[in-house]
Amino acid sequence: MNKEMIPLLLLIVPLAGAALVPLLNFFASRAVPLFSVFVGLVTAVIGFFLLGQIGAQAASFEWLPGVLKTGFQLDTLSVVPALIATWIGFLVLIYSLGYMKHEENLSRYYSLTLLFIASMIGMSLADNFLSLFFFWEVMGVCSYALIGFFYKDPKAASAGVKAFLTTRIGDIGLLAAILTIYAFTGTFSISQGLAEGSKIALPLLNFIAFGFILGAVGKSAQLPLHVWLPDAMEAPTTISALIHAATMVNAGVYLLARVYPLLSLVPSWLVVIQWIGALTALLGSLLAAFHNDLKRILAYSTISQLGYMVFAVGVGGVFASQFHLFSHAIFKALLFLCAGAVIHELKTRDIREMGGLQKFMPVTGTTFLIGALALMGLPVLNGFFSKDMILEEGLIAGSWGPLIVAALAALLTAYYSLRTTAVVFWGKRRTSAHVKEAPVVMTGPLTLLALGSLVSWVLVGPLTTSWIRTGLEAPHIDWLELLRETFSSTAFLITVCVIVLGFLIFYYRRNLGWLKGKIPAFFKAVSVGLGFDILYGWLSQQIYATSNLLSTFFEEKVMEGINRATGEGSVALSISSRKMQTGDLHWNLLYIVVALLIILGLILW
Amino acid sequence: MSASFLETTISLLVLGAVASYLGGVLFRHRERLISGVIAFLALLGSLISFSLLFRMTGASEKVLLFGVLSWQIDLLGWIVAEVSLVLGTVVALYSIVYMEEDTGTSKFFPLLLLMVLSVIGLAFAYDLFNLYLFFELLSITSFALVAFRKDKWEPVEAGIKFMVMSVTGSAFILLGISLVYAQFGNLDLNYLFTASGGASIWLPITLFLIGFGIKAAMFPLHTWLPDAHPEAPSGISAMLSGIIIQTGLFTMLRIMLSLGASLPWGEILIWFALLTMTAGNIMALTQKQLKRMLAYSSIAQMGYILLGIGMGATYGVASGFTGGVFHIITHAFMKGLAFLCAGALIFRLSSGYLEDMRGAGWRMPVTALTFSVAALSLAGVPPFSGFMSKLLIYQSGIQSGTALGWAGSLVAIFNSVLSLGYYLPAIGVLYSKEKAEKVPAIKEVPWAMTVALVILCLLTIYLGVQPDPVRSWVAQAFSLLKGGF
Amino acid sequence: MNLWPFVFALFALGIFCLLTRRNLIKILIGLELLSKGATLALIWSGILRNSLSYTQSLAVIAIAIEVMVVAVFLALVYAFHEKSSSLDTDDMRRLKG
Repeated sequence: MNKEMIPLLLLIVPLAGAALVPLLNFFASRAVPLFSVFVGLVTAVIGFFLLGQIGAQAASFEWLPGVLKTGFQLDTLSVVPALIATWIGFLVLIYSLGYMKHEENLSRYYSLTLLFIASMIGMSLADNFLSLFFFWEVMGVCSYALIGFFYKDPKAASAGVKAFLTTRIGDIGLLAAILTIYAFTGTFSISQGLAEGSKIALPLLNFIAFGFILGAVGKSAQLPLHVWLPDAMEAPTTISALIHAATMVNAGVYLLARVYPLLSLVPSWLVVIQWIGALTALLGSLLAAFHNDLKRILAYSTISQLGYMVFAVGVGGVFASQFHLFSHAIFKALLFLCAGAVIHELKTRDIREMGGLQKFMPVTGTTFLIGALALMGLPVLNGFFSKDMILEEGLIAGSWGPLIVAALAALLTAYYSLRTTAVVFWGKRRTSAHVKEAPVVMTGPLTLLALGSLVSWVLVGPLTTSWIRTGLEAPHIDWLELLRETFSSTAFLITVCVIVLGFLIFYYRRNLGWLKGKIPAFFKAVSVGLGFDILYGWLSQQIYATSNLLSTFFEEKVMEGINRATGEGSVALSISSRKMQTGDLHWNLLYIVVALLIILGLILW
Repeated sequence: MSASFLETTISLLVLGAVASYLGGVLFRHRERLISGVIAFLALLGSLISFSLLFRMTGASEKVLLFGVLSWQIDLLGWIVAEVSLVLGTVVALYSIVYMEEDTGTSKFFPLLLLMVLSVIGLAFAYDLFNLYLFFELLSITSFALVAFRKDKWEPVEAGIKFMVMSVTGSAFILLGISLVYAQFGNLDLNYLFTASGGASIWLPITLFLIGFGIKAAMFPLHTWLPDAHPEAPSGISAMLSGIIIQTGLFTMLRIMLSLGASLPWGEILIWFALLTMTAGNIMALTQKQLKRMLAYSSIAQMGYILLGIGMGATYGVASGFTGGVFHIITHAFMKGLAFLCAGALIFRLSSGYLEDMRGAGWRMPVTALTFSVAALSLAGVPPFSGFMSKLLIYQSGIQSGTALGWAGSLVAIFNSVLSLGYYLPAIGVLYSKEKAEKVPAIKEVPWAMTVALVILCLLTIYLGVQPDPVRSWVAQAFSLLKGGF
Repeated sequence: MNLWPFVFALFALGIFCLLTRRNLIKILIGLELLSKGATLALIWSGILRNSLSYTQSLAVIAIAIEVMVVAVFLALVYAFHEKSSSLDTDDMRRLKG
């Protein structure tokens, strides 16, 4: 096989799968899940080969000569998100065999999931802003459709719409940035656009940076556009694990890392990014610490972790952000899938109704604990190394303000991870439902992901090998060096301190009860998500009402008018001009004479 | 080498025509089958031997065939002739079944072979009179084929109208040729290219524009087309709309490139192109018969080809020529496909009216699906081939950087949108929920016809997804040209 | 001597005939006038370039082609007459619009 074709194949296989699933549904609807898993497996295997292609020249296709040449960009930065999409996608597909067994419309579910995997691959491998944006949008549509998968549930339907509209704000920013770059460099190519970006005047560069940040903030659910992600938890849990934890939400971070060369030209925006990231991390962990809905806890936790990654990009630790992205994808997918197993059994998402499940669901409980420990950053799980690296980068950059906020968030993270695990799996049993361990198609992926959470940091060597090709500076280190450096760094101390503190808070949480009486306003605010949802709800209602009014007017009066006029006008024109075809031979001949005269006139004139 | 491949191609076509006729006459009771299969095999053989002629590089080459026929081979001519052979082969396969209710099929297939032969002749002849000869051969075979069902009123009427206009055009061409000869004393296009620089030849150019313009259905010389194309048997409609009218334009292009350097023929073509595509699209909007609608759409599509070639000639933008000729290729396949699908529907429903086809798509899935591909491609919807070729044409106008170029592209884009106004309803009719009277009783057409449809459908999709290398061949062909060759 | 005026006169006559006559046979005669004009032009161009024998051969071929055209045309006219028992172009207006 031609090696250049590997990325193309990687894109085409899930796409073809997505297209074939509805067809297959006609003939053998029962084969759809297995077929999809098979497609996922093939994709994952091809993805494995892609690993050997890092840094290779990939085929590119001049689709429209002179305008759009699209191809693949194969560097560590782009390959990692693509691989996460294929591998975790594959595991999620297996898990779905059990989890989605009794749902309806399975072909829609599998088709959209495969399409999503394909578009995530396409987005991250794109070497061209236009195709990046295209796949970015396709992802958004898939996410929208899958959040609203249980469309009969009005909450799910409106959550889908909310996610779609909120991320749209970011997309506008992204599109504006892309078009501005195109206008000033005349190319959609990412590498060229970044290389020639320095020639753009500073005010415009500010605008471009703002556009990219807006796009990233929307997609990666950063402050203040984070509100869609908790609501997106109405999706099937598999989708939450795949799209809203492991892959799509990372797209924003990936974008920031990708355009970092441009962002670094405007340092003031980097500071903004640091603060956005750090504050988001704090907010997310704070809200996660006080919520009682299992999936929402995980959603806020995702927001918080994405905040870390954005913070890392802001302090210049692009590799650290990508490394954390990699670790986070694994342990957060694990946590979500565990949550899915629990919710599947108990039919509730409220953690107060759970408890003592460790005895009944040992595999799920153990893997969840591993995921939670990785999330809080306990040595030597993968979350530890990447989070440590981020804090280290923060220290090097010397941006103390955001760093302290981020450290505070880490403390809270440790607390809520333990709290969630304890409430759900330990302690007294608070439900009377009959609970048993999930089937093997579900525990299998859990075990694999738990293993991944334990050892995935070993891959740091291959990941840094060709890092230099991305145009960003980062040393090549292998896992031994990583171990040594991590344990001897200052950041290690911070990490250990916050984890220990987190443990302490968790242990003495009963003794902290007096706090609640002292500052009730704070707790109340936290319980309503610090009011973001209320504010946005009110705002969107206003906007919705106004736009409704406007669109009604526009549609009924203006568009209808235009439609009528063009429709009826062209039909009338058509009918009258058809009279030209008289059917009389002599008219035809007369036209010849007329044409003769016209051409003679044109030539001689 | 080239000469022997070409000789094989021609002999196969000529002998195939004779054998097909004799076979049909000798085995009366199996007339259609024998005649059709012989013709199909002859076309397939000549297609293969002609494909071997392909060479990417090198300028044109003169060859002497059978010791008498002097032709000049170049890539551009090869592309056009190859398209006609492919389309002809598919049409022959399709017609074996399609002509099942007709009599005299032993004459149908030989005429088809001769038609393809004349396209090859027009592609390679470099002498003006030779061109005229093959042009007449093309015309006569098309007259006979349009009016093939001579026991019906409409085909005969269409044939007469077609003939009167076409013969008038031929007389104009012959007069033009005489004038050229009187002025230069030579009819060799290569000679004329070097000799004609600056010479005042406005009258022959005008006459050629009219004469070939009639064949190419340039507005307002298009009036024969909406009559002749729908009334011909569907296979022939596919040939006529797919390649024959384009051959008229192609021949015009050859002659203009050789002779017209001193005159603004490109700009004239642009103006006529805009008129042609707008008129074609507008008149197609309210057609009630499917094939007549497609015929008007052919006029509109000729407008695109004219526009591309006009842009290329006027502003020297390569994408104009490339787009124009690439559109000839893509249009041959997609319009051929559309007509063959229409034929398949008529074959089962014995009515050409759209309202009688309501819901037929549910009973004839392959036909309806391939028709949808063809219609979307004709409207220029990605990822089908029509989009690719139209895009090159739009691009040429924008690249020219002139007001007329921009306006031309905008009009062309507007026309694409307009054309959706009749392609989409046509697809909608096929997939309508309520079914027309005869529809529930029909079934899919026989395999020979569906195979033909599927081949063209795949070509249409392939050229849309992967326009290279064909597009680059066309670009290469033009970069090799010096004058007409 | 200059034959061009005759050539163009024949063309003008032919076009006039095509535009005004309604009988199909007369239409055929109009077409023939055009063709004859073209053939005459061919001969005359040969005389002008001193290569009469070449253009004569071309003219003969052109006439041969013309014969085929006339044959096909007459066949169509005959077929039309069989259906409509008329040779009037006014009766030939089923296809329009």
